[in-house]
Amino acid sequence: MAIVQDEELLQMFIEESKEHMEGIEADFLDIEEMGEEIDSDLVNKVFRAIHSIKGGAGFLGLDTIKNLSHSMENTLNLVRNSELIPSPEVISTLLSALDTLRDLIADFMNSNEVDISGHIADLKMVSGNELTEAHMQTEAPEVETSVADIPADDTIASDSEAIVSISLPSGQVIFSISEYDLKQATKAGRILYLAKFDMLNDIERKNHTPLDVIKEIQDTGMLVESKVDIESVGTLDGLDEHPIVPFFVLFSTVLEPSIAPKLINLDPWKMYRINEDYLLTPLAEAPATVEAPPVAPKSKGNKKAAKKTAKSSASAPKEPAKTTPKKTAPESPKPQKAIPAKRAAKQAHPKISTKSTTLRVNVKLLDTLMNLAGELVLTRNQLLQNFSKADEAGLENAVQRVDLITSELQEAIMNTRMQPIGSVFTKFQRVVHDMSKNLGKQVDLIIEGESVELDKTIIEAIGDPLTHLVRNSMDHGIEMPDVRAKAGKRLPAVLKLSAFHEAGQVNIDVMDDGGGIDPQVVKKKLLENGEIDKTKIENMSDNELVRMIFKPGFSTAKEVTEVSGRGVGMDVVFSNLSKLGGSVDIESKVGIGTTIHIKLPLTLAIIPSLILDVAGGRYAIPQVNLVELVRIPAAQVQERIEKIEDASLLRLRGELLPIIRVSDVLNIKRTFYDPELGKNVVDRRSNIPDRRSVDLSADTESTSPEEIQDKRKEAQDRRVNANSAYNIVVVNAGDLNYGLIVDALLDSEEIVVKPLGSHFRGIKTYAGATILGDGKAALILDVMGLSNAMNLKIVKEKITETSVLKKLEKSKDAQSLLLVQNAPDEQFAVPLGLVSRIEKIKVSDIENTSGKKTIKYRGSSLILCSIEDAANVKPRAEKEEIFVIIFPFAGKEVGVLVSEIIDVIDSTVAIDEETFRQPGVLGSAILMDRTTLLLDLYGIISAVMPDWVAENKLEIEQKIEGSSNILIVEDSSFFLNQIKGFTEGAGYTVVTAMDGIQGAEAAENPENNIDLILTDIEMPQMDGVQMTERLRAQERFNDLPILALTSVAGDLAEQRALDAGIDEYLIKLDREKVLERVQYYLTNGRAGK
Amino acid sequence: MNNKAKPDEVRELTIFEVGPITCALSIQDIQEINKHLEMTDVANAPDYIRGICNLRGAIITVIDMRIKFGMEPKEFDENTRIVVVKNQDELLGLLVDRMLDVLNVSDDELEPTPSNINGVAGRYFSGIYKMESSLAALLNVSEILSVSE
Repeated sequence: MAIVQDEELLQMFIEESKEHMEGIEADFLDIEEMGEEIDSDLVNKVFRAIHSIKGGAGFLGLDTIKNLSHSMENTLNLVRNSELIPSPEVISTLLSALDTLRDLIADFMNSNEVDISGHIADLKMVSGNELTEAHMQTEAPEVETSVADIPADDTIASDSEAIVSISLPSGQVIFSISEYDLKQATKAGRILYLAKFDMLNDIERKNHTPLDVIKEIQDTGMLVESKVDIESVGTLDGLDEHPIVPFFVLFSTVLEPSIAPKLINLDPWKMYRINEDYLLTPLAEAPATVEAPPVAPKSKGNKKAAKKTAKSSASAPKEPAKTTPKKTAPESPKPQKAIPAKRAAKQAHPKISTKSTTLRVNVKLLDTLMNLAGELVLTRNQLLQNFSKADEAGLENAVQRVDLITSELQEAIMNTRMQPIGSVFTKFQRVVHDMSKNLGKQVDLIIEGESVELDKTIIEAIGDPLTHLVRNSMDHGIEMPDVRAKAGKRLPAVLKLSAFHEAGQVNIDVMDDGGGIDPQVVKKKLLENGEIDKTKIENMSDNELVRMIFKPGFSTAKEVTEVSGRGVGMDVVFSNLSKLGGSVDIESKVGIGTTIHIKLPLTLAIIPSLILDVAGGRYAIPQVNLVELVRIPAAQVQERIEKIEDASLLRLRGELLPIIRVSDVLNIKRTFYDPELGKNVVDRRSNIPDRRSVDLSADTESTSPEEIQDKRKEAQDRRVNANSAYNIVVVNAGDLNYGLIVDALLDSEEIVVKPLGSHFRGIKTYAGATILGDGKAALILDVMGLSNAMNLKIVKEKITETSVLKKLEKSKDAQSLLLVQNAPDEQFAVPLGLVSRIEKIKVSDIENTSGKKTIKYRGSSLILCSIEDAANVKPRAEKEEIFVIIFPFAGKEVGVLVSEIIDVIDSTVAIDEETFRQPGVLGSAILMDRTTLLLDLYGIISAVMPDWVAENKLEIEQKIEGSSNILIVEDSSFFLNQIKGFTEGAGYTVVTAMDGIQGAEAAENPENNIDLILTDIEMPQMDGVQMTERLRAQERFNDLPILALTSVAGDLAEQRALDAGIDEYLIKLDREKVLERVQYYLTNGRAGK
Repeated sequence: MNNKAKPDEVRELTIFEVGPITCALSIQDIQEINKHLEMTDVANAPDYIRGICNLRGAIITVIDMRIKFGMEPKEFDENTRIVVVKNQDELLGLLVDRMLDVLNVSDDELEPTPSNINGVAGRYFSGIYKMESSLAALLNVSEILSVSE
């Protein structure tokens, strides 16, 4: 039969079939596992899936697909009836048939030419014995006697199947069906019917599709066969005025002849009941009027109607008399040239892409969308109305609503694109199953988090990289069973795929408990390759070595195997995932296993980004690539930016970061505003650190000032003059962090990513384009591409580590301080570590409730304190917008109001505790040439809300059972007093020491009976780490908790401290946290860690 | 599809100017003609690309026809137009100096490009149309829009 030519129907069939086949593999494997004790629900599910495919394929004329699914169905039916045990052999045969079926469906246009006899024979063979047996017992005798006309040479006929012809009373043969199928269909008292639909009147006019009909039938009965009788159309059309395109459906149901027609909504006279002798009786006499068609467009409209039927119901080729698909092309209308001819040719072969172009959406979600769309329309009306009335308040209202609705709409639409990752994961069951067989390994696949949802595009793109990772694990990672047995590892091995959400990203882990990657092997291989400098390789840490597998052209497999290890791979995985905006990391321990961590954004379509200004143009950088923003004041440029050869480096908290100018990468002329000339001129400085050097070799040509100035005028935060600060955006590109120098940071915006045209394909510095709020297009920078373009490399870690240590030794106790202002001429500092967030608020939003200031914040009330309420300082400057420093206190958050945020600095300046000491103020220091009061946030709270603090204190005291002895080792008397103050306040007995030696001695003195040590790290004579090493060397201190207190700066030393045996790193003035941890360690001991 | 086509093929040509060259483009190739779209420069792009712009939510690449034809670029003025064309599912803009006319032309009036036109611009023409007083070169859109290596 010819393949039906209706793109929509075919597409629908393909999609449905794909959906049906989606979970089947896993189900097959489950069925195999269960063996004899079949789960009939599961088998039924698979059976139904295959059956539906068969039904659709039969209808569409995809005979090969129909035949294959039919054979599969037969085998499954035996399994379902417990007549066949689903042995691995049976399942393997079914699986391989399923593969072919999938291929056939993917390329359905050519499917009828594919030879599937091998599969059919195999399926027959695995189910062979049982099939013949069944026939022998129940059907064979009948076949002999009752079947009238078996076509002698029917090709489908096999030794175990007899063929029955179902023919109309007129003698026209409609179906030739294996009797076995008919027997199956009529089991359990079902009655066999033949229904003859008229495509035009019974289906099209009732707004149905043939698939609807088939579905209806499958709900209540069993579909045996269906077809559209195209042959008869040809003859009818030739001589008849009312063409009927018959659609025959052979089905069985338990429903009686009186109700059956209602089931399929068909006139009874169009249905036949088939008795045991396969003879047909109509359910009713055809009414006399039938001969004239119900809607009979006479001669003129007639032909058109026929065409319409054919076209819209896709049941027949468009040129009625011809049946081959090639001839169905509409008459190429006029002898037009080139293009139209091409188009016609295109239509003749409707090409349906195998990638799904449609998406199923939950009706509820669709309703939400409709609702929101309705809301949007209403709001637009409101907007228009208010606008024409110039009603400002109304306008503001409407704008707010638009804002809200847009966000909701965006969310809802994004939701329609979200799909569970399970659809990707489950296919690995098959991969693992097949590969374990091929490789002779025993592996259990564990899947976790299959319900985690990801954007459709990501789901589609992630399959290949994941397959590669799984294959790698199977092939290289997991050892052969004998190797595992020798190593005493469990059998079967475990391969785990898990997905989970974290921080707005989706994490996927591929974990195996195999042999792991040996860094030494990697090293050897790298040395052999000789591509990387030898000393560099020698200096690499184990982790760095393992990560090298992501570099191009690397494979550690001992030999190239069929499965994986062709020397390409991990780098492709890496670059593919990077393209998706994701990142990959690897963790591997020799003999224990390998875990690959993948992080992916939830969606690709809309991403939060930072908008920046470079030479008057706006660019976006995706927030996921951002590490931090650094502003280097002009005064510090010399000191913090260094130049080695041609590269500029930024000193950032002890690390050296390569920095580049975005304008250099993009080859844009740098410009700046010259206040003397009153216009923008080309910035000729090429040397980043030396801001006064003049390099005339570059950019000597002058720019047209008018043009540039136009663009610039609006720009707000521009360099006022050439000596002003640098704005550096620190970004992350894979394993490399680097800084980008930009002219200004403009805004943070959610942008919609749009692809760039084909002409930009070669340019790697852009990841795409977007449209900004003002409607102008802007480019999205690709941080990976930028770093490649500038050939950036990581500054060697070792060097930075030592320089950091040196730096730390020099500047001990560097403290990160937030500088703020309250009254215009008083400067305050707060240790940055204590601050959770800073928010900008309007003074008018502050509420006064029962004598306390509060503000609505994130759905609850935030209590606010002013510095002047607690300390004797000048009142806050009168301003409309002020800042709140939010920090945690007693499990809640509290805000302190200040009028201005000045800066964050790292300070090592000694703090004077005496001069300005008062409630709410810890002491003073000279910072940025000004006397600065160090705020005591807790002091402020206890002054403003004494009850609350007392309560909190009581609580802590109650928690402490008996008194514990704490040793505090701290060289700065300021901090020593602070810490001593709050620990004693919490009810502990405190012993103090001023350096490591004193500390160790105090701890070793049994009289002190120390339960816990709080120690500073940087101290004269013996530092905290050395002291810890000394104590840990003695067995009696093995269980003594030692907590380090540090001041944010110098995080890199942390590892050294932890290695020495320090239990935890805490921030010095974070009273809450320190007390909480102290109590925790006193209760749980070190083991509680 | 093309229902109106008559036996002797008539097409509508849009006539416009790029420098001294009068160009023609079949109206079927043109999606729209825009007067003012705000351009965003794309650094590092091929020189004939004037930039990208936002066409109702789609980013289109704008090609400066003057540079394609080997002329010096020109500032935008009130006559500058962007002719939006579609090529292989991608929208692109052609920056032209001035729109002139829309003409109905029968296919027989089109003549092949004379062999002596083989300058820089020659390969972008697929035919010549004789207008009353001058000639218009029918543009070969796919050649113009092809991505040069």
